[in-house]
Amino acid sequence: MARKKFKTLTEQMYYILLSLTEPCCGIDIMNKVLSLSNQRIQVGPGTLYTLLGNFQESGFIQEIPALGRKRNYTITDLGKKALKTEYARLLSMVNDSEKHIEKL
Amino acid sequence: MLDIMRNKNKIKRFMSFQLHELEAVKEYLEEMSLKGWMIEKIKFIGNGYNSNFIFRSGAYFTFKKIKPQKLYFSVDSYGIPANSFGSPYNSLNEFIDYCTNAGWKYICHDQLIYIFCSSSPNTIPIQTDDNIKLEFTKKSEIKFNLINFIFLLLTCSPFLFNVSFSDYITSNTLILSSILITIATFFCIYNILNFGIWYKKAKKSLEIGSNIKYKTYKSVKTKNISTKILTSLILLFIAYMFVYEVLFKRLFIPCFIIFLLTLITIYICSKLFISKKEKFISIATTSICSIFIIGIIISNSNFINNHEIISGRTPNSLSFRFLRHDEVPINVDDFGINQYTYKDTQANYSKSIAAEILECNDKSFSDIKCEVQDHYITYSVFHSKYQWVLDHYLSDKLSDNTGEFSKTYDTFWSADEVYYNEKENAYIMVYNDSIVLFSGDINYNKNNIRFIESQLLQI
Repeated sequence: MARKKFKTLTEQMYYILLSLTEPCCGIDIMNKVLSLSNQRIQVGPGTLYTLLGNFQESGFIQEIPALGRKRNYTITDLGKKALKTEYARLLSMVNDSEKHIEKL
Repeated sequence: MLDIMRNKNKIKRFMSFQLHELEAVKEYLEEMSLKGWMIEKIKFIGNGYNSNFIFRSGAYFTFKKIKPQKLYFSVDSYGIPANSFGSPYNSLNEFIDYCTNAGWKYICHDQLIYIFCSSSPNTIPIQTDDNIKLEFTKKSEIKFNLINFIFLLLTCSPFLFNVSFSDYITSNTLILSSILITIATFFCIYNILNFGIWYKKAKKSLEIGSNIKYKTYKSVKTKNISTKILTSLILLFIAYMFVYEVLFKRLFIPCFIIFLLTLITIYICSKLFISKKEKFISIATTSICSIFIIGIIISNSNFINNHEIISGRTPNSLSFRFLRHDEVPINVDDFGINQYTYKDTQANYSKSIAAEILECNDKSFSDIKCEVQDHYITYSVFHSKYQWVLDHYLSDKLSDNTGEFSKTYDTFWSADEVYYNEKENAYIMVYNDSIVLFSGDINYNKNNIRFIESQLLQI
């Protein structure tokens, strides 16, 4: 069920997973997504909170022990696989359309 | 009517809304802040799942006085566990931290609804994924509406049991309650349709990549007026039932004890269980059980029949008016039956705007323990101004005893139509505006019939 939910990742999901390739706390993710996407993608705090919960539930990310009261997360192997699959999908989309777009 | 003034610095307002109408709540809060009132607290009626008796009514908002200013609000529903892992840094704190970091000031929350405020219009929205928002709204709305529907059914269940047409039509309480229940059912269905149509439109606009159109404050405001009227009506009706039916018929104490026990159990459950599911199951079970117990008490004590139970022999603990043997219009003595026997008289009288009925049962016994029955008469007089009520009552009575009553012309009764049941020695007489049922082991001679008619038809 949970796997089915993330068959294709939305932009926001993709960037959240991308920013978690290094361990990072929830609050930092918002800023990280913004800088990773050159200010293009904004993740609202509510969306981030929900997505982190969903990712954790389906094993894409895990909580790691941290000092202080903030909760830190990092991507798991399952999450990496999902990220890579999505990357491959996006890449193939770009490759497939490259020639056609150039003609325009 | 439901708005409560507290003091000059604080006001309380009631607003009814569904989960897809939160944008309207947002508009409302912004409007209030422009008028110089800042939201301070939100409180739903009840404890969420059974947050209302018939339909989910809405929430109370407490405002405090501020300098009028333009503020931006975020009102959304999130499924955040109030306290997870038992750590001081729980999910709620984490969620609020995220929002604070994005520039939103946490104001208050109740149940699933969280209210944040910001002074800048450019603050990043708390929810940026419309799909997540829509799915969550759908899930919660369906859950709420299903629970409302179950509660609605449970509310009317005592009225659905054991109610014959004559019980129903002669009781103002039953007529009124069925009207209210019908309105509430329509309201419930309207709410579900209202949400369903909106959801379908929202889903479509998401598919084609445009923005979801939310309900405006104006449209919700109109709905609010009707909700408030209905809520007040239901509250008034409950007050009426409480005073008239429960207090007068001495059901107050058992019902109050059960109500108190229910509240205590719900309180203990909400403290005892941490998981939402367990909480819900325990609270729902308690509520359903107590509703059934109260329903059984009520339906077993003539509550819904609006009857005055009149007993001539043993004081009935539930009755509040007694009638002596010689107070009923006709008793067994009237037919020259032995004066020295022991008597048992029971009579019900009930009247509503549509009809009235008098039912009487008089027996005489030849022993003091009232075991050996000597003679009996049973009769009822049903009176109504409306022809369809009379027709319905008659066909009800005839079909109750299918094939036993047959039309007869060979009698002394002066009625328009007479039906006779030979086995029971019973008659049904149809008069201009009333129907009389009479049975008993008496002699139906001309004098007796004249006497019965003269006594019963003047009621």
